[in-house]
Amino acid sequence: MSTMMETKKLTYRYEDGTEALRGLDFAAERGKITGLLGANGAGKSTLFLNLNGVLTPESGTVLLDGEPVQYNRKGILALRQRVGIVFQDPDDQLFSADVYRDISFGAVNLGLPTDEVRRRVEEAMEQTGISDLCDKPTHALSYGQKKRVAIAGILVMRPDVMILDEPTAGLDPSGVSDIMHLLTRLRDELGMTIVVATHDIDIVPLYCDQVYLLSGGVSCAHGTPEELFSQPELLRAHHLRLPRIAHLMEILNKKDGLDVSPTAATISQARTQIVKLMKELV
Amino acid sequence: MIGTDKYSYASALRRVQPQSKLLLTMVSIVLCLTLDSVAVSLLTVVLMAAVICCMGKIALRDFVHMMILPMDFLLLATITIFIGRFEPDAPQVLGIVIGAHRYGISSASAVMGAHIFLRSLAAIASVYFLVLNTPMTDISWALGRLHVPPLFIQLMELIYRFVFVLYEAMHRIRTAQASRLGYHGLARSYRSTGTLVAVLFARAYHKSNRISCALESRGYTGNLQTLEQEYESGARVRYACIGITALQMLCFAAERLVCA
Repeated sequence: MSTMMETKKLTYRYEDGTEALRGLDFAAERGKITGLLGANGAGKSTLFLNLNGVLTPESGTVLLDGEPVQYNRKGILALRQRVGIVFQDPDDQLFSADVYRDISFGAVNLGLPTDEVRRRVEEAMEQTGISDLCDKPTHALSYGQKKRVAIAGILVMRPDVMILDEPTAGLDPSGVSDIMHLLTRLRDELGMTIVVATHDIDIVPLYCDQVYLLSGGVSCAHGTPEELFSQPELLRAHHLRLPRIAHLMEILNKKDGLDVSPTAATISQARTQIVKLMKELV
Repeated sequence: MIGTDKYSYASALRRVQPQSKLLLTMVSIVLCLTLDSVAVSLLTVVLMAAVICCMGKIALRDFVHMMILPMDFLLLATITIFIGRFEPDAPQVLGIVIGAHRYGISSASAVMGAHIFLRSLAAIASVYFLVLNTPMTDISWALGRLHVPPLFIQLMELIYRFVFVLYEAMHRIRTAQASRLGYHGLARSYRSTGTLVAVLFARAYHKSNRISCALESRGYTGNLQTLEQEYESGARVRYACIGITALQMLCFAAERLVCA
């Protein structure tokens, strides 16, 4: 396993003096989904804008594929092609009332020939399942549809790393699983490195390979979801909680004294544990 | 979808190259305005109804409905031309004498009013051909192709997009205010409207920051260049334009012959 994107001792201060990042160490592994947990104001959005070069860090380094980012025109443009951000509110990202033209924007900015842009737009629309939305104006789309168009607008740039800020916020349950399946497909089929900031803790054990816990502009814990969920006190200290299933297993383990692993956080893991327990009883 | 979007996105001419539609509309407007003939104006309304319904596959009922919309405005604007003050012995269609003058409609003012009314109607029908068959984004794209400055086009496109976003935001804020009795009584309504405008302005400002971040992250370098979906050929519409122009000229010539 190798690191695709990394920050070392990253600090960033806004003009009003707010220290949003205070020496943040973060690493996203190649071809994996890395989750970012953290309460509001933990520094997730600031980190994202630093990773894509919209903000320039005060100190520390951002490394892409082992190379430190060059903060000149060429370096920034190269960085933005390789690292794409899908913003939380698609209305902030979709600037054209025409779906096709909005998706093409990033690819046109790369200076690609027309045929190649067309090929990429068609492909991105197919990958996100929005080919039939082309005949509608942006303002007639539902929130979930806008979200897909926003993702397609990033995919046309064929980035190595895709960063998503709260991709499941505001979606209905089937919308959430659609988006998350799309992300796992991008990871498995294209080997894309994906970073997801989320408050929806129940999707973390299902879709994330690695998790970071951010608080006050630093990373206070990281590891696999199991590793993180084995420290429920740490999560609670940072205004987060265990996934519901993991919480149930924790109660069964601690209060009822059952021999189940408290880190089983998904339905299938919990099922294995319970079936095992039942078989031991019989 | 609000306004004419509903029709333009459903139109059978939706994917046709927009310049051809712009051409048809412009030629027809210029002809109607310069020829200034009642017969040509009437014919133009009928021809536009025909191309909008047959080529655009828009229901005649919808077209008639759209034509009725500006009628109040048109009548109000022309009523001052119809009615005037005249010398008592002037040729008169309808009028009453008050004091030393007659007030009413003279035959000259009636003809002039009818001319202006019908000319406007014909121009409106011509514009509807463009508007009911072409989404806004295609119109601005076509203007760009006609060398209208890119800054103007880009502003136009951004404004069009974010009008809807702001409209939604305004609606949400208004509902939230109304749900707390913010619009009970005139004084409170005024105050709530004031707050609404202030909040909306602040939101728009913050949003513009976020939008510029998002654009930058997609490689924006000062130019909102995009690629349009491929259009169908505009040959059909150009042929229709030639046909319509020929009929209009023919009608004009016929009218001249009959009058002479």
